[in-house]
Amino acid sequence: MTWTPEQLEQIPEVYRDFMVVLKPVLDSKAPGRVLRINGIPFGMVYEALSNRYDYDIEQVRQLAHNLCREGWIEEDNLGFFTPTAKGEDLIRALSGSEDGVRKTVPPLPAF
Amino acid sequence: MAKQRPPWFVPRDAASVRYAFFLSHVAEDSEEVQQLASTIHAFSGRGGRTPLTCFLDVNNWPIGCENTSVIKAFLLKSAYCVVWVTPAYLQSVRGWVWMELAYAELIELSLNAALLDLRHPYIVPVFRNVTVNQLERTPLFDYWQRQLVVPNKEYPLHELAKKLVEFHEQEGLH
Repeated sequence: MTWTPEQLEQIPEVYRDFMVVLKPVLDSKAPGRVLRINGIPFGMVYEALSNRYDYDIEQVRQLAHNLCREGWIEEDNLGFFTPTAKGEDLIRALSGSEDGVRKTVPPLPAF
Repeated sequence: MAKQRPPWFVPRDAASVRYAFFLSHVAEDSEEVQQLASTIHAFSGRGGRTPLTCFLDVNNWPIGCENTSVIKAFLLKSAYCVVWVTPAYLQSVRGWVWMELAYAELIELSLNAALLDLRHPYIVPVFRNVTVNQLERTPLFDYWQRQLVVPNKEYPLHELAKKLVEFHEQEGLH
């Protein structure tokens, strides 16, 4: 999926941040990476988001549930989170990669 | 309002780092870990490179200092903390390794403070002959998916040493 900056901005910030927490899973798939990170534990997601938003455990669980339900992330049987394919696209777009972000020109106001 | 720094922040001065790895292990695995340290030193020094040194309690422990102070000081002097997880590690009731893991976790959190993702892994777990079931309800469980090697697969020490050296060369010091 190709994202526009406007579309990315429509995603509430806390969901964008949740996806960025999962970025090491994506990064460690790069060929030649020695340390593989195959999933992010809930505790690490909670640590990142509670520091930034003061959310409690239940609220972070709810964020995870919402992202799972919409197919952006998966939770394995051990409770580790990984991005789905479309979640990976979103992370790339959020991480400032030019791939997957379609630049749009601003509309010209009428004078 | 957004918080910028975790409440238990541990500052680390990169200039004070003297060791490549702090090898966190139990005494029962001491012989194996000493061999690992020697192999890391030998392999990393290949082709005239500066060899990597590891902090190992049996070789580097300053006599007469309080144990917890030494652990804290040398974790900060190490670029990474290798957690050598074996059945003996999990059975140990002495507690030093769990203390090391806790301090290491604070350092890792601090290295990644203000970041959302784990950009600078500090804790490098090596799981030796343990299963995920044995880790459940332990603080190590969260590290199960952080893999230098495939867990439960037998790796000779020289291969693990090579992986650690490659990891160190790839990550650099942050």
